[in-house]
Amino acid sequence: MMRWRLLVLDIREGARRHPSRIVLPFAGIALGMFILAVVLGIVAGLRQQAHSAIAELGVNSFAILPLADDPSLPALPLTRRHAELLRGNLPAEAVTAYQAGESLLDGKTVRILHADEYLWRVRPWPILAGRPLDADDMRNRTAVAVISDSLSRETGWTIGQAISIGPETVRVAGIVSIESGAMESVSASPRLSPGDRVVIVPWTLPAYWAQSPVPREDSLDIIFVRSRAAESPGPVVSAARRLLGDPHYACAPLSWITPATLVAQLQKLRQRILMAGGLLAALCLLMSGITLGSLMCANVQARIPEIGLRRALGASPADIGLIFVLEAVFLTACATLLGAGTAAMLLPFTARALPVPVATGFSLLLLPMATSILLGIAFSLAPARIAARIAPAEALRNE
Amino acid sequence: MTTPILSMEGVARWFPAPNGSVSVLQDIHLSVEPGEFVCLTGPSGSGKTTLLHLAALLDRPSAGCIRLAGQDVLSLDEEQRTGLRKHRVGMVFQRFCLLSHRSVLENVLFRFRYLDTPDREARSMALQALEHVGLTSHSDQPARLLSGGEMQRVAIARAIALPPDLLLVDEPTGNLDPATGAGIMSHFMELNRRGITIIMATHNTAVAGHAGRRLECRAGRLRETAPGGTV
Repeated sequence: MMRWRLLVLDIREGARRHPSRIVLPFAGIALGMFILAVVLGIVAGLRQQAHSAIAELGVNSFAILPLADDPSLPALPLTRRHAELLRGNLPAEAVTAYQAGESLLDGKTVRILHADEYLWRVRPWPILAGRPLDADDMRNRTAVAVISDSLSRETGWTIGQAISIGPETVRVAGIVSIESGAMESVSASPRLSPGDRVVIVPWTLPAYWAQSPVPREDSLDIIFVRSRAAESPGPVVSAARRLLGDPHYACAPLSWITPATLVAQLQKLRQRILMAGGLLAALCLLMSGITLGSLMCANVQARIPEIGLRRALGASPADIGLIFVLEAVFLTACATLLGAGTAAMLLPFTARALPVPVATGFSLLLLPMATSILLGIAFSLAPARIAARIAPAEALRNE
Repeated sequence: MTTPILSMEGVARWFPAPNGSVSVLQDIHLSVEPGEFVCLTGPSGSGKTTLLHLAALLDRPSAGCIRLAGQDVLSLDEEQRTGLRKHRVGMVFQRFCLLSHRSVLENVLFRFRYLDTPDREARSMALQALEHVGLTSHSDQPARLLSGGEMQRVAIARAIALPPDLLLVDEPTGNLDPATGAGIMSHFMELNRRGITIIMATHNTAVAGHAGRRLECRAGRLRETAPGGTV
C-alpha cells in the first residue's frame, strides 16, 4: 500500500512543482480526446444504424426516394401513380409509400406521415395500443391517426383523443413505437428517428398540415418494397427499375436504397467522419504531445537535484526514467478522463440534436484511454532517457 | 586488524575540458577505519565534494582503486554499486536536498524509497531518526516551512534513518548561522559516538575541530593535518 502511495507521490512531484505549466498540454489532450470520443461515437452510431436498418427492414427490402433537392430536376418526381405501378406489376411483393411533412401541434413540431394501409407490412413497427391504419381508413378518408409512443408520452394523448391538425380534427386510433428510421435517415428528407414525435394519417386525407407551398396531393417522399424472397432484393430492384424507367411514367432520377447501398453509404460517411474527425483529433493530440514533451524536458531540468538525491538513495537510471514516463502517462490519462469522459457523459443528452446517429456509453473511453497511454509514453521517452542519463554527481552539484 | 570502511589507493579524477582535461584529484591515498570521524577541509574547488562523490560511489575515478568495506567498487557494475550505496552509505548535502512539497516524515521515509524495508518498520525507523534530531513534533509539517537548521536536521534524520556504515556529509553548516551550526555538529558527534563512521567536508576550520582526524585537500591532493589515520 505504502509503495503505491510513494509511487503516486513521485508522479505528483512534477505537477506540484509547476502546476501552471501542465495547463496547456492538459487542456490540449482533453480537447483532442473529447473530439476523438465524439468521432468514435458517431462512427459507432453509423455502424449501429447500418445494422439496425438491415435488422428492421430485412435484407430483402429496399427504398426508392427522389434524388436530394436539385433545382434542375422536375418537381415532385415520385407520385402515388408510381407506387401503384409497382404494386400492380409486382403483386408478390409488399409495396408501401408515404409523404412526410411537419406541423405544429400544441406548440410542438410533429412529423406527419401520409401513409397507406401497407405501411405495417413493410415497416413492422410495433403497435402498442389500438390499431394500425387499414384499407377502410383509406377508402373512407377516415379522420384517424396513429401516433408515436413518444408523442403519446409527451402529450398524454391516448386512443380516442381528438387532435387538431390545421383546420381539421383527427382521432387517435393507435399508438406505435417508431423503433428506427434508419432507411429514411440516409436521405435529407424524410428523416425519422426513434423518439420522434410522429402522427401517421391516411394518405387519402388532404394535406391540411401543409404550409406553403402545398405539395401535390399524390406526391411521395419514399416508396418501400419488401421482396418475398428471403435473400437479396436484386431481381425485384431490377424489375422496379425497368417499370419506373418507362418514359410513359415520366419518372425523374431516383435514389435506390438497398441494404447493400445503405451499408456502403453509411460506410463512406463513416470513413469521411473518421478521416476528418480523426485528423483533427490527431493534430490536437500531436500538438499537445509536443507541448507535453517540452513540459517533461523542463520538468527534468527543474528536478535535477531531486534526481541526484534519488540516485544517492539508491535509484537506478531505469527508476529515474520511469518517474517521468509515469508522470506523463498519469497526466494524459487524467486529461483523457476529463475530455473523453465529458464527451461520453454529454453525448446521450445531445445525440438527438446532432445531424448524425451517435452511439453512447463509457466504452467510448477505451480507445482514448489506450491512446493516452501511448501518447504519454511516446512523448516522455526522450525526456525520461535524458533524466536517466544524468550523472548523479553532476546532478548533486546542481543542488 | 579491522578492514577499513573506506580505502582509496592512487585515486585520481579529471574531467574533460575544451583544452584537454581538468584534474580535480590526483594520487589520493586514504584509509578510514570504522568509527572514525574524519574532516576534509580546504578551500572551495579543492576537490572535497568530488572526493565525497567518489566515496559514495556516485562517481567513478579516472584512475586508482576504491574499496568500500573491503570490496573493490570498480569491479562492480552499476546495479551492484547502487545496491552497495543504498544499503551502506548515507549522505547529507549542503543545501539539504529536501522535497519541499512533502512533509518532514515523508522526506525521512524517502530514505527507504528504493529499499525493500517493510512499511511499518520503515515508519518506525524514520520516527526514531526524527526523535534523535528532535523533530518528532514537526513530522507532518511541509519541509518548505522549516528553518535552515531544521531542514538540515531533517536531512540528517533521512541519512541516519537506516543507520549507514559510512556517513558522508558535505558542508553541513555552510548555510547556517554559527549557533545552529554548533547544534548540528553536536548531532554528528553524537552519531559518531554511536559508532557511525563520518567523513565530513567543510571549509570551516572551527567545525573541523570537532573531528578526530583532519585532512586538508589542496590542489587536488590530501594532507593529514591532525594525527589519527593514514594518508
